Parts: sequence; C-alpha cells; structure tokens
Amino acid sequence: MSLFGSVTSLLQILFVLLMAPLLNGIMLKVKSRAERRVGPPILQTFYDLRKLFKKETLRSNNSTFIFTLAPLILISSTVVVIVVSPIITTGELFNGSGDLFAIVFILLIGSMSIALLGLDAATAFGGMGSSRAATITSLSEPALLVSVIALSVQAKSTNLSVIVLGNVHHVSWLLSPSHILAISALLIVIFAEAGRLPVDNPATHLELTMIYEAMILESSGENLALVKLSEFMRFTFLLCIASNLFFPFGIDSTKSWIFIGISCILLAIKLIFIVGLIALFETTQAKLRLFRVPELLAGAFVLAILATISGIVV
Amino acid sequence: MKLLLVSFSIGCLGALLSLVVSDRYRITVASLSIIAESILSAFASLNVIVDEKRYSFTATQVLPLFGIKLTFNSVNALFIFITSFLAVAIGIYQMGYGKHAVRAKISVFTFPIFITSMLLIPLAASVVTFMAAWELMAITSIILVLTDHKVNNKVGKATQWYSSMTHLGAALIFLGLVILVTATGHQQFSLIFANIGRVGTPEKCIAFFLIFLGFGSKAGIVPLHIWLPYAHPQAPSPMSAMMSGAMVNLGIYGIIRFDMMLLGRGANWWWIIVVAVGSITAIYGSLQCVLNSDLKQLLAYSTVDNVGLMVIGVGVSGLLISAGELKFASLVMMGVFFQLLAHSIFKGMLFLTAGAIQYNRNTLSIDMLGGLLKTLPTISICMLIGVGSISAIPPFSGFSSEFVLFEGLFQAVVHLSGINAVAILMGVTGFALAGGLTATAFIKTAGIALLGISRSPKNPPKTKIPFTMIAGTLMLAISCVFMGMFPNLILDILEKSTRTVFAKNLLNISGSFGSISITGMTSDIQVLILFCSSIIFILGIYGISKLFSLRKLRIVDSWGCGSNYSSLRTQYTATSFAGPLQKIFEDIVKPAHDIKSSHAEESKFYIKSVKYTYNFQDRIEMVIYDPIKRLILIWGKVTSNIQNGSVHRYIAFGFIGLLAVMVFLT
Repeated sequence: MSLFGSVTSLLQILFVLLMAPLLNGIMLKVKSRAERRVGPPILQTFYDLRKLFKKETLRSNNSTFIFTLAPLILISSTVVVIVVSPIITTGELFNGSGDLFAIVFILLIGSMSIALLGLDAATAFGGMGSSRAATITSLSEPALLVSVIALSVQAKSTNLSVIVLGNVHHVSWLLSPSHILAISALLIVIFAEAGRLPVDNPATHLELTMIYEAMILESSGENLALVKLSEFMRFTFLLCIASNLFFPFGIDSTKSWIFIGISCILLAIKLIFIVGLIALFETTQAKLRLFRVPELLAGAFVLAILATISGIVV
Repeated sequence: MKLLLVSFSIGCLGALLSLVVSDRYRITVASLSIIAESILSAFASLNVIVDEKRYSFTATQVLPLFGIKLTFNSVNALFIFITSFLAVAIGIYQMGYGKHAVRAKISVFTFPIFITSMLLIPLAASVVTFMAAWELMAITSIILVLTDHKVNNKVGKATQWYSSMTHLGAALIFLGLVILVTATGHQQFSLIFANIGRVGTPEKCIAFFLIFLGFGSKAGIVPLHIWLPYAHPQAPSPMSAMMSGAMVNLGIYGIIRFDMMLLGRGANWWWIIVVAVGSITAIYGSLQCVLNSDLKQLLAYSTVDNVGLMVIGVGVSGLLISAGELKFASLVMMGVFFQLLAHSIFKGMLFLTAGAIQYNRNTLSIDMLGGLLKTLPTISICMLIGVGSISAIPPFSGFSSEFVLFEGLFQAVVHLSGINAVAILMGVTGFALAGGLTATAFIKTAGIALLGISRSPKNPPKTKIPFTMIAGTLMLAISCVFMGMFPNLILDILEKSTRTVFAKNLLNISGSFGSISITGMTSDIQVLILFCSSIIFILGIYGISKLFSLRKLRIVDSWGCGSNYSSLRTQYTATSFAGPLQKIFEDIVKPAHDIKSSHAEESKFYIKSVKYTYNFQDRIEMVIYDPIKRLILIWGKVTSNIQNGSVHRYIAFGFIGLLAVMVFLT
C-alpha cells in the first residue's frame, strides 16, 4: 500500500466529488441557455445539496433500517468503484481490483439498494419507481456485461487499468470498429443507468413518467442529499470511464505528481466538453415511453454483441 | 472411506429408529441422524479433497451378480461435501420445522435415506451401482414430494410430473450407459474409460446426448425443467431445499462425470449444443423467475436459471478441451464448481427462509406478504444475504463464483476462434441476460416480501419460529458471506477437484487472503479489503452527514399523495412489480388475462364489480407437453376400445397371438 496509491485514491474521490455537482450545474446552465433562458448559477447544485443537508429529515413510520442504510450503501459503493478505477491515474491503490466485471456488480449494489429503498415506505410511487428502475436495470445489465467483454477483447484483459493503458499505447485500437461499437453501446447504457434523457427525465416530477425520482420520493433531508450526491457522482464516474476508454490521452501512467495535476485538468476539460454535448443533445430529445426503452437497450445489446464479434474476427 | 460407510449406516439406522420411537421424538431422531451422518461425510470428503486421496471399495455380496463398486476421489468428494454440508444445516432446521409441519411418518423415515442415496450416487464406480443408487434417490424423493398429499391437492399433479420426468431421465441415462457397456464389454467406469476407443463415433454421439438429456432432466434444462416448479414447491421446505440445492447438482455431476470425463474429448458441435441449451435454460429460467410471484416456484425457476449457467460453463469447458486449451478449460470448470457450491448453499438457504415464512405467515404468495423485516428480522436478513448472493453482488458468494465463471468465459472468447467463439458468445448472452433478470427478480422478492407493510388484509395468528430453524438458516447465511469474503480458501479446495478432472495441475491460486486471483485471470479482486473499506466509507459518510445535518428526525406517515395515507392495497405487489417486464416479454410468455365486469341493473354505465383474473403458465408446458399429453390420452382411448375388460376378448387375443407366433415360427 504505497503513499502514492493512497493519495491518488483520495484525489480521485475528491475529484469526482467536486466535479459531480459542478457538471450538473454546467448541464443545467447549458440547457437553459440553449432554451434561451438564463438558468440557475453554475454552483446551484452545491447550494441545493447544502440546503438538503440542513433540512429536517422525515422518516415514514412504515420504513425500516433500509431507509437510512440504502443511501449510505449507494454512496459508499460509488466511492469504492471510484477508488478501484483508473480515473486520473492508472496506478491507483487497488490496481488488481479494478476489474470491469467487479465494477458492474459493485454498481449493481447501489442500484439494488436504492430499488429496495423505493419499496421500503409502502407507497405506491416508490413501488412504481422501483419496478421501472429494476426493469431498466435488468435490460441494461446484459448490454453492459457484453460491452465489458467487447471492450476487453483487444487488451485480452478485463482489468480496466490494463485496458486503458493498452488504449494509450495502441492508438489503432481506439478507431477499430469493435471499440467504436462497444463505446456506443456503453454510452446508451450510461444514459439508461444514470437516468438521463431519453430514458428518464431527472427534471420532472410528473407522476406518470418519473422513474428515479419516484423511488426516492419518500427520502428527505440528509438522506435525499446523499442519494442526489451519489447519483451525480455515479454519472460523473461513468462519464470518466467512458472518456478514459474513448480518449484516454492525458491520463497519468507515469506515477509522477506533475502528470497527475495535468491529468486532472485535462479530464475536467474533457468532462465539461462531454456534458456540454449531452446537455445540447438532451434539449433536442423528448423522453421515451417506458415501453420504448427496451428497444433502445436491445439496440445497445446488439451493438455490444457486434462489437465483440468484430473484436474476435479482426 | 470407512468413515463414509459408517456415516451411511448412521443415516439408515436413524431412519429405521425414527419408525420405532414415539411421535414426540421421531423428528428429533431422524434429524440428529441426518446431522451426524452429514458431519461425518463432510469431514471424510473434505479430507479426501485436501489430501487428494483415492479410495475404492468393492462389495460383491450386496447386489447379486454385479456387486457394489465405489470409488472416492476429489471430484466426487466435492459433490459429497456440498450435499453433506447442506444437509447439516437442513438437519438442524428440520428439528424445529418438522415438529409441526411434517406429519407423515414415512417422509421422516425417507429423508435420511434420500440424503444417503445422494451421497452414494457420486461414489458409484460401475453402471449397476450407479443406477441402483439413482433409482433409490428417485423413489425416495417421490415419497418426499408426496408428503402433504392429504392436505394439499396440488401434490398429486406435482408428483405425476415429477415421477414421469425423473423416470424418463433415468431411462435415457440407462440407455446411454447401456450403449457404452455393450460397445466396450465392461460395466465398471474405469474399464469403460480404458476401452472407450472401441465405441464407434455414431454410438458415442448417441450416448453423449442420451446421457446429457437424462442428467439434464434431473438438473432442469429447458425443456425438461418442467417438473421443478411443480415438485420443489410441494415438498416440505427442508426437502425442497435439499432437492433444489443438492439433487440438481447430481445432474451436473452426471454430465461432467460421463459426458466429459468418460467420453473424453468429443466433437466440438456436441459442446456447442450444450452451450446453446444452457443459454436457453438460463434465459428462460430467469424470465419465468422474474414473472412468478409464488415464493417457492420462483426459487425453483431460479434454480433452472442457475443450472443454465452451470451447463453453459460445462459446455464452454468442453469446447476448450476439444480445442486443446486445457488451462482455460480448467478455469471454466473451476467456475462451474464454485457456482455449484455457491448455488447449493444460497438456494438451500432461500428455500429454508421460504419455509420459515410459510411457517409464520401461512402463505407463499409474495403478493400477500410484506413487512417481514420488522416481524422476522433474522430470517429476513438471511434472505437479504441470499438475495445478494444470487444477484452476484460482492461480498457474497455468488459474486466470487460468477466472477470466476465470467473470467473463464472471457478467456474462452479471447482464445477460441471461428464457430467456437460464436458459440461462446451465445453462452455469454445467456449469462448476461440471466444476470440482469435475476437481479430484478430478487429485488422484487426481497423488496415486496420484506419491506413495506403486509399486503394480506387479515393477519394469520403469529407462530413463533423455533430457534433451530433460525440456526440452520443462519449457518448457511454465514457460509454465503464467508465464501464471498474468503474466496481464496474455497478456490484452494476447488482447485484440487479441478485438477482431478483434468488429471493435470493447470491452475495456481496465487492471491492474498480474501482475494480472487488465479493464474490465467487478469484481475486480482480483493473482496475482503474492498468490503472493509466500504464499511469504513459507510461509517465515515454517516458520521460526516450527521455532523453537517441538523440531526433532526421526525417520524411521519408515508406520503399519501395529498390525502391521508391509509390503504395497504395501494402498495405495489410482486405481480405489478413485474408488470413492465411481463409486458415487454409478452410475446414469449403469453400470460392469459381476463377482465370480467358485471353491471348494475339500472344502467350498464354503472359497473358493479370488476374481476380481473390473471393466469400465468409455463409456455413450454403448453406448447410441448400439452400436445404430448393429448396424444397419450388419444392413444389410451384407442387402446381402450381393444381392451374393454371382456375375458372372451382377451382369450381371443391370446389365441390369435399364439396362432400368429406359430405361423411365424413355421
């Protein structure tokens, strides 16, 4: 357990922790601007989180310890995947544990605990949200697992650090059809998992369409703050992984402090660019009907299978 | 070996003793004999695995003409270990459960014999011994399924399904083995293996598929799975835990022992078909599992799903063997063994929790349950652990096993090419789809049954759950967590069994304590450290959020959408939870809905009552088995015209038959 590893792990957590609300603020701003509105200040998400932490927590009398534990499990599972994955450096603390399969299933812990949270308070909305979210998870999980295989075929390893390093050293891998197909599958899955448009609209509380918001309807105060924060962190984490897989240049592989600084700045720029694009994309999108979502996810699944096949053949 | 034989005799003695003692002590005697028997055989088998010993035993006097031949090595010791470990917990559980819930004397007597027969099957070293033990298991398990036939009218149908499928399977296995015996001229497995060259290719293929289907019917491959959702729910819970946790393993054992180890490296298309069947089984099983809302039936379908994963693993391993990639073949095989072990334990435990819930709430319909986490905390936490295991989330056993299996599949994708690689992708598809659906199915099970409030309008009288039931369940729950957190210890043991299957030392367990690391795998997941650090994160974040927040907490009613929160019927049920998935997969499962509304007399615009019925049946049963059943009935009608019971007619038939034979002979 080296000093470098420990410090970079902490840095990764801090980086995602700070970037997550910021990126959300930027997205809101870009969206508002694209719709000719002024929009909230970029730091608004920070203020919202602080407000939620300060608020009184209400707890349903039907609920169990799951009600308090689920947000904690959600956020700590998010922190664990951040620690094991190469975000700003490939030389992080638990190098060997950064396996894509493990990451998929650690993220699943969070999804499961939040789905249980929805059912805990015995309300109709919670159940509705959990049911819909679980449906989407059950369809996006296969696509995610197959794209894990597709992304790993070229590097012959499911270890994320090895894959990212391989991509840095073999630029031709990045432009191979297999890689591009796999990344597009991964992007669709990220949209579904993070509950963004066109799968779910995080900005609405319309009862017939909401998915994620319905699950956490009973949460309030610090519980809600934790859930919201980890939701932003998960999205940011997934974007970090996507950007490191698609355009890994700039990620530190030399284990030197200067490179880590550069890597942080570059990654932040990349992320801001990506969320800007996503925000613009979302302004042109309407939310899909729930029963159209499977078609999208099945598409992602097929893309991932195609990616694997082309990875094997080429 | 002697220890094992002693343990068998303890089991049989206990069974006999349970017949003589008075009603009060019967279940205790039987359970204690099960516990003693299984502790002894668990030790014996663990000893054999760790020291890689090999014993054989022959008793010519026992069975006429052929005698009994047993061998004990580290492959079958693994299966014996799994069965006996599960049986220890189930024995403990049965002490409390059986006192009120198992009334039939004969079932109490049969259960130890059933367990003994399951311990005996892997040991068999000759065809006759094997078939004798197999039939013993079949018959005893049919008796166990029949236990509640006086109080439950579903038992009859379940037993019909089970007995016909199990005998069909036994017949297929027997045919397959007979082909091998006639071609080689030996009935001892080692001699068949030595003379396997004498079997021609077509015979080999036929034997391979007969054996695969025969054992597959016991394991529950689609479309032969049909008996599982009938038989497993009807047996009393300790017995269904044993059937789902240990008996299906023997199906996988048969496929590994005969198709892989006896028939040697075969053509790759054999294994491609096995992978395809496994993948269909996994997907179909998990789909039925997610849509079902009967607790035990759902678990039975999830057994089908897990069997599918294991069959995929066996198939991929076979493909790798026929391609000469022995190292990765053994990695996949180790994954299969791990999955087998993990599945036995978590599925056994889930059946035990289902039994406890039935004991307490008198229902198994998840639609009627709710809020169990408050009333049955220990059982519910065990169930949550089981749910975590089965959904393969760390740090539970299912994660470790599926991770090894997944790595094996990945290595197979990388190291094979052409049609083989495509076949493996089929397996990966099955694995992935089943994984997603299983997670949803068990979010549903745990979420609806354990959380919220009870969905049943009237609460049945609460019976206190005996301590032994909780202890048995808890023992399995702890081993789920243990296997997940210290996978290296389990892998060490499994590696020895794998080595014996391949007769070669191919893998190396290199990882540190509490990690999964095998040579040939690309990652080294430190489950233990990650788990500990996530506990630290949870505590830390909890502490920090307590520091920042106002520490104010108010207990209120759940939000009632603007009105007062009241009804327990506004909650989601298991059926409505699976609603979206049911709609998505409607073309495959085709459930039957029916809405009947009756109108008020004054005007048909006023609806008096609406009745919604929803019937959800296994589609394979309707598509494949119903026509077969109809054909059998037609055949029965046709033949009943000939046999109308008149003696004259039978004499005439006899006369004509005799005449025909004589004409034919001259």
